[in-house]
Amino acid sequence: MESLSKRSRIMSARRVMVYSALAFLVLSLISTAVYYFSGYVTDPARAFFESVSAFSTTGLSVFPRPSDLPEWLRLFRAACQWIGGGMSLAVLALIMSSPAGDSMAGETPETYYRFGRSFRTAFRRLVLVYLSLTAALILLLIATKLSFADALNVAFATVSTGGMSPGPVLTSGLSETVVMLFMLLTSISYPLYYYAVRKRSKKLEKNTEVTIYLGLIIAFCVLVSASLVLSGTYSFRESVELGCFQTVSNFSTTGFALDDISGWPSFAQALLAIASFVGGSSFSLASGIKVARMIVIVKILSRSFVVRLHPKAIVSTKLNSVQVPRKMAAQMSTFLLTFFLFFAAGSFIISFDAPDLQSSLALCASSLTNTGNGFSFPSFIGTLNDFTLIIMSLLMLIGRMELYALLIPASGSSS
Amino acid sequence: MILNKRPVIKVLMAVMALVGAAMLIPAVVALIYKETNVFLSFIVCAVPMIAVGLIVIKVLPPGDNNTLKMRDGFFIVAMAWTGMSALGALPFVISGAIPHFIDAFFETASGFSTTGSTIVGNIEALPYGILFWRSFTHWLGGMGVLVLTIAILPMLGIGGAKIMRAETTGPTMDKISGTINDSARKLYTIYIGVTVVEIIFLMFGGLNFFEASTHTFGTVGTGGLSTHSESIAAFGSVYVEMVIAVFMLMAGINFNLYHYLFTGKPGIMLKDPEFRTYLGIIFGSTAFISLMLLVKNIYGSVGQALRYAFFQVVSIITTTGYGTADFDTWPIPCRMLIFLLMIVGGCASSTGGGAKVIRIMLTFKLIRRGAQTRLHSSAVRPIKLGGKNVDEDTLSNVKSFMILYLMTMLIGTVIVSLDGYDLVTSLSAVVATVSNIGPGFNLIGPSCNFILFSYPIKLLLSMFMIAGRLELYTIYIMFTRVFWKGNK
Repeated sequence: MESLSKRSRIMSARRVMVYSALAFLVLSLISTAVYYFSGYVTDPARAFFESVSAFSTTGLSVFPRPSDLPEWLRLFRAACQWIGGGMSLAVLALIMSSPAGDSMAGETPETYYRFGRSFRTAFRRLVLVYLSLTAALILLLIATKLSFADALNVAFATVSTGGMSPGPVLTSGLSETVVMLFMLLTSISYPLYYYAVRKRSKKLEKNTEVTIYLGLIIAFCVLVSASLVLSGTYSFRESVELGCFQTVSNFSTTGFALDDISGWPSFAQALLAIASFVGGSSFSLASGIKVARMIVIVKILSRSFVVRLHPKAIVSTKLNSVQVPRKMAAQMSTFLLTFFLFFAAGSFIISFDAPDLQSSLALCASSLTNTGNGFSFPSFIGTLNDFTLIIMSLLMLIGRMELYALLIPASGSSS
Repeated sequence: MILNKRPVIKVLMAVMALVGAAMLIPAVVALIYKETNVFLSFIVCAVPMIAVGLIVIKVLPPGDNNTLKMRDGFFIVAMAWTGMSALGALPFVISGAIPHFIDAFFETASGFSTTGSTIVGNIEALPYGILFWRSFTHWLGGMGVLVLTIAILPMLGIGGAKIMRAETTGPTMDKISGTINDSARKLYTIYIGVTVVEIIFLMFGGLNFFEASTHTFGTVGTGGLSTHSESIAAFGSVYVEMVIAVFMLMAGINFNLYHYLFTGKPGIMLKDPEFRTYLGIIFGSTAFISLMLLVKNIYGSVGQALRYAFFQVVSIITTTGYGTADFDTWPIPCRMLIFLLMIVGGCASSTGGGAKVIRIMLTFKLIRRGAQTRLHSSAVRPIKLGGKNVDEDTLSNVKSFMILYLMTMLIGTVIVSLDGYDLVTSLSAVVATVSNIGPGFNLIGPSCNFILFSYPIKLLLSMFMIAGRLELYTIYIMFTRVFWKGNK
């Protein structure tokens, strides 16, 4: 009896992963058809790349000048990103509503256990946050004198962490600051907004992940800006503005870029790459490794030092003031290794079509972390061959689905 | 005091005296080539080191407690390697061959850690005695001066078991013999044997004794410092290249396996899963790279392509770093593969560096298991290697090592990028030093050197070389609070 129920749960975990991956693919194919028949993209592989890039909220684009596109197509791109963000929320809701001990819930921090009693409530709560953030950003952007269409374009790309540029529409420093703020907001754990509204202050106080995330952002903003100031490329004010914007853009894996970062000092570039790898906090719309995992991984490392000296020492690993079970910690560290395995393999395949090592690594990182334009590679996405574009599309999907979706066929049917 | 001072000092003094004694050999070389100045600079360093070392060991009365704890072991190993590199740098400075101390420290750390990164541009301009010392540090570092000291430790009345633990490279599943002293003796008998054979082979290829021995030191220690700027390409001989390639390949194999080979149990060696994977990676990568070289018309014939590809693959995976061709001009996928091989490294208990083949194998198995546990909440299945279950403690050690290695790469790149060179140069500088390779890519490619970095970065890279050689933990642990806090 028990084995039977376990079995059905296993099936459901796998089925859900497969369904989500399929949903991403089907929507991408529909959108591919739209691009193809619109006549603006003549090559199906390119259209597919553009579609996956939007749904996975990556934001790389085969259009060199998006402002040349007709209004409807730009809105369509933005809407795809926004729907992609919503689908990612569905995956998160599913993970959070899985019963503890279920393999799907494997990496859910205890703070978020039973965020919703069922998938439906969890999803509804997350979407509520999503809608509020989107609406607020649209209003604020209109208040900073953007046209309604531009405001929609920017808001959809920002709140979903897609980061596809609708063209140079952010003209004022104020609108840039608003976008930066919302990139930050959407990369913070969504359940916290719900708790804040419901006045569950205990849940908020215990959340060390967000505190550390904000600390990291401030530290990186200071370092990146300082590096820009010292390099003398920009004025002091521009350096701080650009440095902070780009840091938040990369941490939230949005990938908006106000200027070409390939001319920035390599120290700033290296920090921005690390920011993208780390990503935002867990159960937000940011992609990447996630701060929660990094916290646990750093604790595992410091534990490994203690154990070298005191083999019998018992060191607890805490996240959000709660003990992390061994199995969960193990899954988180395996995630990191898996992530870098995909990074290595992806870079190797991309290197067949890239002009140098740096762009192979950057293109792969940009796809796998769903960041998009926060890395420095020449803007030649459109000149890459179809095979490379499809590989990059796969990497985007793998990154968005927290890696494991595409491991399902590889792990065999040993159940 | 958290350290058992007296035996720790004794061991360190013994190491110092040994390094001093080792300097007498390049002194003799300098004398033969009539380099008086160089000869004197070795003597000036060697005599005080030997004298002080021996006197301190004699004068220090034996304490009541001569046991070495874990903590002492880590401290000795970390101090010994750093101290050896600092003292070994002195002849470079005194003779004026490398005037700045940090440059000399970098060069010596590169030697003892068997890395092979150099800051010298015009190598041929260096005197013979200095060139010999550069290569000889590889040989000493290769097996670890400490393994040698283990053999003389009984004379100091100190057991060496704890040191061996910090020193051995990579996880191993079995010991070849019961006592540490025995296995140390066996290991270095094999080591010396291999060295002598290679020198003879190279001399058959027309190299003089000086060239044959220096390049042998670089080979069996998997170091890679050559006496020529063009490295092995300077000889232009297929025979020499193949001899060196085969010996590099041998140096990258777990030395414990040779014991089985010589005691008539070659089956154990051939069935060893790490050994087989190692060979598989070498032949697979060689096939891929030579194919790419042919397709892209870098070399005209299959023979040429195979010759350069095989040498470079072996040189990189064993973390030696000798060159017969500038791989930084090869097609991008070849470079990417070479970059990945730099991370893999040789087998456990070989003289090679890197993450080690066995750890990469276990990492793949861990990733596979991770995917399975994501789908099945059922009990964790054991991971097997060569038919045996690998215990969970070893696995979590492997995991934390790999993560520490990745973190070193990422954070190291950020710091090195402060010098303002491009990211590939910065990243490959970290990988080339932590993995003990030698050359990297772009500005530090095979035809360039490390002189361009600022002094603080050179010090950091030297530390990475030593840390990489000592499996990261031994050095990093010195910077943790838990190390300096006493036992409660």
